[in-house]
Amino acid sequence: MSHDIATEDRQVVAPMADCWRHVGVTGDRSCPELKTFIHCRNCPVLSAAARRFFDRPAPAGYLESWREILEQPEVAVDADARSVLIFRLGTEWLALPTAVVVEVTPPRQVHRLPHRSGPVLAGIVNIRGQLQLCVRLEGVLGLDAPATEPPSAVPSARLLVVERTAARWAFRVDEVAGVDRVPGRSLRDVPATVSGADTRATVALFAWQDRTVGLLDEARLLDGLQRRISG
Amino acid sequence: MQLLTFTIGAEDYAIESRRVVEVVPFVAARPIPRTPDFIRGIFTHRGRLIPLVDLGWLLIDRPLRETLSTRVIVVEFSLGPCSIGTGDQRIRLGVAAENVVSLCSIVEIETSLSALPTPDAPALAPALGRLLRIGGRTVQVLDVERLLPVALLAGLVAPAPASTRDQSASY
Repeated sequence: MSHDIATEDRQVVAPMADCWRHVGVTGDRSCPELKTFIHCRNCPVLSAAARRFFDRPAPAGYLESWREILEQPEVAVDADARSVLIFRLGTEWLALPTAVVVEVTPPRQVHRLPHRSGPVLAGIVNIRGQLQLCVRLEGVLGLDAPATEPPSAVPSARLLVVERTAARWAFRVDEVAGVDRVPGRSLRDVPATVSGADTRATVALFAWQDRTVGLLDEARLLDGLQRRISG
Repeated sequence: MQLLTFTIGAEDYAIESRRVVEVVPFVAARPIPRTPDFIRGIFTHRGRLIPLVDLGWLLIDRPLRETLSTRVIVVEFSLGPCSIGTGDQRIRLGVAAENVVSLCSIVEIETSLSALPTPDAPALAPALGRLLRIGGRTVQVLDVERLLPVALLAGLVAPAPASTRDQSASY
């Protein structure tokens, strides 16, 4: 049994009724169309099957359950939610406002600067032809230095490029979890014992996926950095 | 321009997605006596009572098939302060259609039908908008603001007087 599906430019012929289970991404991936569509969800055969799936009466109780869901009042959207990029540095989960992040790239060779590289300044990196200063964020924040394994040993390691007042900085992190919106009410004050240490750049804590993430203040973090590098 | 496409009968139609608040399953509405067939009634959406329009009845005098892809498109617009005595309130309307399953982006507009006369439903003519070719199909774009006669819309969405709750309590 085969289904002919007309696309805009050509026909895709499904070899069997549920081809995505047999030769597609949930099967043995032998379908020649995967070269074109990469994933079955891009293939017109699967979209046509989805249309057929939805072209049937709703199961008993389904619409009734939706009626109850729809009757619930709208939850007010938190207007003061802020967008942050969440990343990991050693054992610490930290976040920076997304607005200051320019780029997340794979880690690359850091060229040491003789007599200048130290606990804060790591050196310079080449980011698409531009040389950027690369700092050690753990040194800036006074955190424990992460294990000194080479960047290639941590597959999740990334280089973050941030910008503030036209100054760009790059630093290595061990993992980037992604961008999320954090409602203002979920931010907690930093305990005095934490903020009293050399991590004054942390302005708030919030819970994110069972973890506590420290929100860094870009002004305190990066403005202080300028002084420490040039000093 | 991004469009939410759907079908009524065998034909393709679309609504501009900037008018769309939400697409929800085709839930039952409470019928309102003596309203036209294409008003399915009033249903509760996120704590608000909004009218539900059956595009099948409205456009081709035939009720919609009730399948999983028959959905209610909740649209929001404002009619301006003068046309309805509700101030500049945003009006929400539920519009039921079939095969509400895809969005598409298009750039140019091809044919305007704005002057199309519809003798048996003169109020509907301004809503029938434009015809487009999208991926080999001819799609008619509906202008949701002009879908219902203003008088009918005003009656269905008029805000309840502030004292409604007190009156029902004193019964």
